[in-house]
Amino acid sequence: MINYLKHGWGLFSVLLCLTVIIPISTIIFFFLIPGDETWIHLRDNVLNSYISNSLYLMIFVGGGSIIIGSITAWLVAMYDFPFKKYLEWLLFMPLAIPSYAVAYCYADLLGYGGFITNNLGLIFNSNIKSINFYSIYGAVFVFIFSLYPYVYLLMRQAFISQSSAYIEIAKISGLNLLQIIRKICLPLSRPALAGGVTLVIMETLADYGVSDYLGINTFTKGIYKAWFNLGDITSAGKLSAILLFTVAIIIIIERKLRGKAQYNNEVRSNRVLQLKKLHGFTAILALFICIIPVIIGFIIPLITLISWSIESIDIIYTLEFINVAISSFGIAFFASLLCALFALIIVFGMRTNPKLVNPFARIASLGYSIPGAVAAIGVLIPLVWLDNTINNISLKYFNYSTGLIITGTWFGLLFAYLVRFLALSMQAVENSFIKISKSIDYAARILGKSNRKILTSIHIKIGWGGISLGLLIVFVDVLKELPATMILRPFGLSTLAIKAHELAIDERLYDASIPLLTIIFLCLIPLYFLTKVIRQE
Amino acid sequence: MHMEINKTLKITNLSHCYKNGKSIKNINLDVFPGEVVCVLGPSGCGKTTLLRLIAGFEEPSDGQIKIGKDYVFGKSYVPTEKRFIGMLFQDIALFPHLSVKNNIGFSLTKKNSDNEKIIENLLKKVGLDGFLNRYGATMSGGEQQRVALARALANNPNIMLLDEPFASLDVWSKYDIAYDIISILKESKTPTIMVTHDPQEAMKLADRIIVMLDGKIIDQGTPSELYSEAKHSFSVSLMGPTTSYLSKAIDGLIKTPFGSINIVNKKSQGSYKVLIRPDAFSIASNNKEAINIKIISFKYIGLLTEVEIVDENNKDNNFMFLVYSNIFKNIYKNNKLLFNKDWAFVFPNK
Repeated sequence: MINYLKHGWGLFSVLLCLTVIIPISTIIFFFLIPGDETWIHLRDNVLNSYISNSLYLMIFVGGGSIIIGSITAWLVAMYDFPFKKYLEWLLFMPLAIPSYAVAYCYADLLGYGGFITNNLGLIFNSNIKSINFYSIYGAVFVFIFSLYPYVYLLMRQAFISQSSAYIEIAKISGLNLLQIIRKICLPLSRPALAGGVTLVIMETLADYGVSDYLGINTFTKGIYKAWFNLGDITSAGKLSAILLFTVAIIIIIERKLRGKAQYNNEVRSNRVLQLKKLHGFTAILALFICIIPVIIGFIIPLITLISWSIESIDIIYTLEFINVAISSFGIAFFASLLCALFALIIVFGMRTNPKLVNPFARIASLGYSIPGAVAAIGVLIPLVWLDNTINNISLKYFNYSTGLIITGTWFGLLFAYLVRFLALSMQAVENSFIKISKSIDYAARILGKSNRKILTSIHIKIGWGGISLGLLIVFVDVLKELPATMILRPFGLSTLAIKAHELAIDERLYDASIPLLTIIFLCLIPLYFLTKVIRQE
Repeated sequence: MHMEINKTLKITNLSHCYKNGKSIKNINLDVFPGEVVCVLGPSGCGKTTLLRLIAGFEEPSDGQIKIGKDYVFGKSYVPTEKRFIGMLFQDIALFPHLSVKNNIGFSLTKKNSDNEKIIENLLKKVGLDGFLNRYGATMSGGEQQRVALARALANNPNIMLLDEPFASLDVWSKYDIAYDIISILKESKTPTIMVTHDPQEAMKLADRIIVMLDGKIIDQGTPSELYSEAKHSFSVSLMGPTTSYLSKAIDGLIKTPFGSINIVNKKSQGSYKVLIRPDAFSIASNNKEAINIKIISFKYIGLLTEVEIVDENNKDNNFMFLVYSNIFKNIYKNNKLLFNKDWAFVFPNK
């Protein structure tokens, strides 16, 4: 009785964590299952290209993002130059544009008769008619300029939080600027760099839209093909297992690279860095370096999409678009609510019973590092099993075939979103709750309130700002999500992301611009809050 | 369950063990209506754990807790929210999204017209008339702690637990607020346990002081008892200024620079620590028992003066001790003082 009263909430939280952990765990078993003919065919013919392409993307996208993200972060953190206060937040704006939208834009701009190729010909009097963007090089370009903000954001924060004492000591010791960067600033920022580049690589591995549009064989595309084109869940599962294994290795490497992350803050005194004012050529150079990624990753794609949308603005008034928008918003709304509900219960469980809940919550929050396609397959397997079981029972006792009543419904899709995005909600809720002193909980409990009452009347009310930001982030991420939605969507359901992708594949880019701009507009809302945080700093 | 009659807290053989090895062992403690007991000890000695066990935030591994006539742990179990305990925290913990009125009314579950009156009366009691619609952020720390007290009293608590509630208040207003709060609690006959690491605070506010070390109660008594008759060297040092002198016992006698002290066990030959309060020294005048000293240097440190003398027992090392500054001038002039052995506490040096 005592234990139940004490651990009731904690046990319920663990149960919720397990619902998310189980689909991820089922993927692991595919390592052990022997493959059938389809798998052998895939293994012998395309697996090598999946591996080499993924490795190539990881290395070059990771490297490119490190260079662009770190240099721009260094410049805005250390120097004062014209328009810096705008560039500080403009530099993470590419996050508002889904990578696949950037790919559509550049494939068109650099293609035959595209705006850039036409003008390059005019300016340089060259005979270049088009640049083949449908290649792995194109994908590297797209990913670098879409994803470098992850490195930028974390590195900027790391540089800003470094004590000026380190740099002053290095200067006194006679180190020049490059030596200070190499010997002091970069090693101190290593955890941030590792964190940023890991996010970039995981987003690259999780992508489906860019690789599908540019015709590159990647794991995510392979998983989708294995399930949809070949109808082989074992092969899809095996590919997912390899991808999951790769992600696990990346996370382990990242943790190793982070090392003793806390040393970064050891001398975090009040002596903040004094910004050096740049003048003349150096100021223009800094401005130029920082504005280029913004132009490539944000301004050009945005202007391109807006110019396309002028041609196809009428699409907004079509019933089809309205239906797609409503179902897209609807599913994003319910998914974000579901994630928030799970996150509130689990995070509050972590607070009331950390010993019991924390280990499960930590595993459940790994879901965000799992590509959408893997999460979809992970959800699909238990759902198909459940459907088959129900069907068999129904056949045996009622001589009636129920068919697939769970798989291919909103339930399955929402479940996959929950697996994938719960971590985001949990992080937002945790960040809100961490600011609430534990004494507040104790005071409420001592005043006779139950856990449920404490959560609803205190924590949700105090932490509402953070919780709603979490809701918004999940809402936007679901809106952008492509691979899991494509695998698990109910028959006839289309989302803004799927619609845009289908239109782009059909080369109806002008029509694709409207759903894309809708997504981008909504993505700008959470980024606006991020801008406010950065301004407050 | 609401136990109002016989508000007494009785703790019997209470034990608790953390995974890191820290624990509290066999705590026995009674707190009576209107009594204020201060639990004093260094960080990590288990004093806050003791409060958490009483409140029910943690489950003891053994023992019993009885509030009034009912066992809340041991023979039966009552969860925190039904123990009717009041608690004040170091970080005050007012609900930031609620007004003073709603903070105080938080535990008043039934909505009735009397609630407003109860809240107003409580505010009057804690001296915050007219603060009804204010929010925590607009008040000083002291005012917030008064609201926290009103909130705790609204629950009509059987016992009150104070977890270093005055530590975050500024030194100027701290005792004004503390005295007010303690007098309200005494008036309402609420047994109160206060945790602190500040001996001064404990002496000023407590009826009884419990000294804890390494999870055990090592001493207890009224403030004056603990100052003059502490049983443990740690309590002696904690309760007031002392000078420590190490010496060996020979035939039941311990030599000090101020003469020899008898110990009970005359056969004992071990090493001893003598803790001497400044109260042990007084002006010699023409007293025959006056002791001659050779003062080498001195340092004025407010109420006390630190004096360095030649130690006749150990000429290699000088000895430093504390005397009250108001008598030092005379001692310095005459190089003489009187030594009262009752203020020297002798402990085996482990």
